[in-house]
Amino acid sequence: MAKVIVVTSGKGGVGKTTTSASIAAGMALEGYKTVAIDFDVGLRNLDLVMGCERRVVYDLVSVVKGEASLRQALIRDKRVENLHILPASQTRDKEALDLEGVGRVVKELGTMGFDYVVCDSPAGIEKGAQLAMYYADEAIVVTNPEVSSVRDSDRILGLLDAKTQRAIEGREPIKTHLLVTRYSPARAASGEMLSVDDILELLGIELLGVIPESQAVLNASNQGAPVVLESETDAGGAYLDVVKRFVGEALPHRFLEPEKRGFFSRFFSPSPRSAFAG
Amino acid sequence: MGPMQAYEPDPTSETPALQLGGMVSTFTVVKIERADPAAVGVALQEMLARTPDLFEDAPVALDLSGIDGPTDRSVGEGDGLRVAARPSGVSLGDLVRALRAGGLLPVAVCDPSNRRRAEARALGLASLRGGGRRAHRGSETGEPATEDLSPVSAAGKALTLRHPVRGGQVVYAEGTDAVVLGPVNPGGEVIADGHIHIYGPLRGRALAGAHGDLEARVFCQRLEAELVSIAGVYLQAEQLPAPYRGQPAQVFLDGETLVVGDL
Ligand SMILES: Nc1ncnc2c1ncn2[C@@H]1O[C@H](COP(=O)(O)OP(=O)(O)OP(=O)(O)O)[C@@H](O)[C@H]1O
Ligand SMILES: [Mg+2]
Repeated sequence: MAKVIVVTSGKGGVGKTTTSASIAAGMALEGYKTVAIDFDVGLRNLDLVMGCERRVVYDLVSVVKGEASLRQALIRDKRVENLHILPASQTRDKEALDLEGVGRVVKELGTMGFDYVVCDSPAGIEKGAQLAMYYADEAIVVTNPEVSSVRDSDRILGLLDAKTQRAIEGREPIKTHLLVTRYSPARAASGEMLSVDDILELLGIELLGVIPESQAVLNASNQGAPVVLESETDAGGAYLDVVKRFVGEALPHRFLEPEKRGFFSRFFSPSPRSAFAG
Repeated sequence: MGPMQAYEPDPTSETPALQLGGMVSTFTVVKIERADPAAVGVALQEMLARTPDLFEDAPVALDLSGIDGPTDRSVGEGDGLRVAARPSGVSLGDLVRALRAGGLLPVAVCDPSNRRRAEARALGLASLRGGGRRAHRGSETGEPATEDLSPVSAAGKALTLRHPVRGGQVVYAEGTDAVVLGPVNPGGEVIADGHIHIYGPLRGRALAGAHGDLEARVFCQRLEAELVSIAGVYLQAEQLPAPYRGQPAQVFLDGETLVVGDL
């Protein structure tokens, strides 16, 4: 059975597609047979970030509609073995996707021997985002260190708890992970941005990792390569850590803030502390 | 089938055609704030979209003081001040139709003016003296509380939530207390007919005594609420007393005043 991971956020432009590309590529580097699915019908971004936009013939909608087989639509990455992309359509209507159709695709990917299915969600909390999360086993909630993004992530966490197949069937709830992206420790320290601590305080879920604000992300996406493939860069290295943590390696968090020594002892202290009392 | 037979008419029986006995209590009081049936309808739709089963076929009493001005009774008797109500132009019939279209069952009007009383009678609605929570203040003014408006007792088993109530989520503990084992986050809302206990920070909204229980309270480990309400009397974030912000607190009604106190 493939493990289905949704990368979601509520708010737009926070780094879902960047993350989906790097998580999928990183999983494949780790030896897992992985496919990244672009659920952002009408916008189509994932293929650009992954550098396969010229090889798109069929897409998720054509498979759901039965116009192409899954094998025809899947694009095999040229750099990383085990990595596949199921692109979105730029021309089709968002309404073309339905729950049953997506369910069939996810199931078939499982029978094809995929270990991980990474679903790149569109922004928002409406139908498109709900379709992308419906079959997920785990969710990576991408958050930027600003109030509106954190609030949206909170809403998305509510939907993950209520509107997914696992929730509706009363199965074990989706496992949720927090990924803080575009983080700048210095700006958090000066109070210009929320700190990781502030974000965890509100969302109360496990921290999967912190990706620093980095020029490397822009460079990589302009070249059509997931930044994780440039693991010597700060953001690339951070994404590789995230992938390794996801598959079970215990790695310390980086890019939090050098002088912020007491972070863990504070966050994991047993007594609830007040944001206003101290 | 059994119990149904009791209701079958039997002309030969000695039993009288009707019997008086028992009391059915509790209406939600709906305060109309705008003399515009269309706007009332829209507001109702929005409310129902958020909490579909909160008001489903709920019998409601209408409080028209928001559009007609207070009637003499609500100003207080014995102080010589009597304000004659001047009903707004909107017809009660139009308001009632808007509410029915939204799934409510208007059954009565609180403290109607003479003109509204006549309209209510024509529509088959009862006229209640001592609207909503004022019913209970009746005893303070030497008047018995109106039995019809006594609050629901929150008798059922509490609704326990083991997850945070997150932004956009609305939870309703119907006829009972709500216990939240975690935070209520900004944009999240907990509504209960009884008490609300939050074992975590209250950052969203908590509305206890939603069907008029004046004894209902809100308890939380950290008060950072956007809004707290007991039986329709509410405080917004900026109205919360500063010493309690971010602190453990309880919120309850003292007369018609909402009070924040130590936990
Ligand atoms: N860590 C980072 N440092 C700098 N720039 C970043 C970082 N992560 C993402 N970006 C940039 O932010 C922009 C939005 O990223 P991305 O497309 O991944 O977001 P998204 O959440 O998928 O957006 P949408 O909601 O539109 O689908 C892109 O220009 C991307 O290069
Ligand atoms: Mg995207």
